[in-house]
Amino acid sequence: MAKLILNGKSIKAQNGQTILQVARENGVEIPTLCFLKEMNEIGFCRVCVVEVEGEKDLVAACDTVIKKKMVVHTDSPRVLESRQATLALLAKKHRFNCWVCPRGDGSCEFYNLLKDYSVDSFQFDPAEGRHDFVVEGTGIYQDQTKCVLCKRCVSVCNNVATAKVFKFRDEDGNNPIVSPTPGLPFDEAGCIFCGQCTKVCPTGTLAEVDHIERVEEAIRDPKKFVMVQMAPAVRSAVGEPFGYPVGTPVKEVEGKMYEALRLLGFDEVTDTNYAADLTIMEEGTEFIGRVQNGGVLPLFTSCSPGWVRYIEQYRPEYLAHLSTAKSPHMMQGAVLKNFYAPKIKEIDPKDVYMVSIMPCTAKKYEISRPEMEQDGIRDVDAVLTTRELGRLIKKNNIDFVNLPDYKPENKFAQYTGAATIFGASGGVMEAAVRTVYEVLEGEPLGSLDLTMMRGVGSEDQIKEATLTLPKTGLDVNVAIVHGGKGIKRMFEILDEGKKQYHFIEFMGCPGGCVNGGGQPIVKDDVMDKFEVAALRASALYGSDAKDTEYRRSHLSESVQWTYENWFESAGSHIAHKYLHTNYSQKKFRKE
Amino acid sequence: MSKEIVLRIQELYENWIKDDMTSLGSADIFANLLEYVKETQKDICGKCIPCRDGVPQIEKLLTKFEDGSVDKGQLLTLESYVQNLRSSKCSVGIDFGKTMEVVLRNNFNDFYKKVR
Repeated sequence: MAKLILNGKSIKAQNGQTILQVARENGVEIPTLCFLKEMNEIGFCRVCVVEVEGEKDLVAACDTVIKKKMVVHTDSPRVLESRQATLALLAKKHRFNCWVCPRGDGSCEFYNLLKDYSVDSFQFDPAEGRHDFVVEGTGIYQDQTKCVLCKRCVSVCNNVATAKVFKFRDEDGNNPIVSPTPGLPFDEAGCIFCGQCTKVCPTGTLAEVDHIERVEEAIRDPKKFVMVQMAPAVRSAVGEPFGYPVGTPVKEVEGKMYEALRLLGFDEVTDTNYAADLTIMEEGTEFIGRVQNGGVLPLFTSCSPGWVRYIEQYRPEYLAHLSTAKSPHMMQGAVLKNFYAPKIKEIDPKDVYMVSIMPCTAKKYEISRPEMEQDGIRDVDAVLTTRELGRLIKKNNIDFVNLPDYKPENKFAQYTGAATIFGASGGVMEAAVRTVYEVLEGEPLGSLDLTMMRGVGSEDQIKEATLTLPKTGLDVNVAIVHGGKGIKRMFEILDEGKKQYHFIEFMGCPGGCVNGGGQPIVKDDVMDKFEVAALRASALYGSDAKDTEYRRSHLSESVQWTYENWFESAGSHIAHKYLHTNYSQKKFRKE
Repeated sequence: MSKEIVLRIQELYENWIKDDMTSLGSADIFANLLEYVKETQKDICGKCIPCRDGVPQIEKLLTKFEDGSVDKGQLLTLESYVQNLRSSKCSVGIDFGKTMEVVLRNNFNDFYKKVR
């Protein structure tokens, strides 16, 4: 224990703590810009500077360890002036077009700092970007005119996604730049489009590629029949931009979300949860087939496009393990466009425009994959992230909080609880096990709550379970992997070849889709990302336990109807044409 | 030429610690300081803001002082950038700031003359 004086108050703190930690524990707010807990404690931005008596220079609170009898001032005039000058310097190199910026909704940390420290425009005009170009990509982009060189994206890409796409390039110390391989778009630089960097960027430099414009255009076009679907994880966070707390029960916001989509002008509201049930049927059947016929095991799930991109780029030798089933929203698009529209609605599939609301930036990339079409009909035409949906609702002056509940009546918005939990890490596996067990054993599982597959706490982001099938005489080893760290660790285990798994669920983002790159931003110092994921997941599990009539995918009446009328059976020839895809190695260059 | 100036300015700083009357020669003071800035810029690593973005701004302002196209506000801005270098991450920025503080204090007349 060490005693120190913070802003005139005597306090006790543990040895080895930084000034910032001590201050936050004692309710003293020190502003930060580049700081990310345990990931980016580098003292680059000098916004967190404080005055320590006896030291002539100001020190950064984030990387200065406390000493005995230290006297610290966090709000002396000298400190405040320094912060203001530093922010003004940064502002000189930032292009202010806040009204069209994706972070213009008040979530820009840089803007809020300028506001807190009353930096006036005469201190930085004319504000011009450090570099005047945009690094393009199909999932995310990087607008170099706004970068403040905080290096957060670099540390998140290295530690969370583990793709190591970004680099802080300081060959020219006067004009550094953070970017992927110079001259290449994200698509060719090894990016998996998980979007975790877009959530930590303090400005609008890194953001999801905007699809709002093309969606609005489609809605305005009278010839287009615009259909919308939203992912399981969206309903766990859709209320957050409107003031609902993290982890709000699904029931409170789901009906409002459907109603908001109707009001936005979509012609038909459907739900990806329907296709999540369909995915379980296809993927489950594929798994059973591989077990019975000696196919390639373990089977990897393929619902997370960030993960699919990871394996295609970094571990192509494992591609045969990947389930050929498309991700749920692509299945939904294929079914709606190729069957629902022509056979029930009598609309030419060419006039149908399919919009997906996703918690994910990689889905934006996924819809552009050349495999995702049949006979010239693209499966999905646009993907909006949960954040973009929030922006769109606000832009249209829809009072989300006071909306009445609406429930779409078509078959493609009906779902089981097994589909809802897809959004949480472990959910796909739990849903699959519920169905696979019953198909193989002929009787339902004793308890449908497979709690060993839930949660995000474990350090290496891997969960394991063994499922005994007494009648089949098989012990099925399953594993659940989420986040880049977990993926890396799992490949190490697989390379060793000592453990025998049968079925592995992979998710590109830590915590699964609930913590996806397109979800509303919760600042790191407000809540840890795993806590956010756990709370949002609990909303989904709560809905699974309480809200739905059925909790097993094969009991979904819509799915049964679909197989009876259109696809014959799971894994049939026609199902393969529309609901399955293929993968190939993707090349990239990192420098 | 430039190395000499760096040495001279460093010498000035050391002398100042002993005797606070030492100052730079008034003739060519801004040209000399601009040389000094240029020398410093080669060492900048580009990591922290006060140094990376501050030094180029100081250079811009010094150029204006050399031209004589400055006002009082710009002198205050220059002072604030110089003082802000005290919050740099490493000694490149801190040392440059310290030296500039000395110059600003001991040669204040040369700066203020341009403003009047």
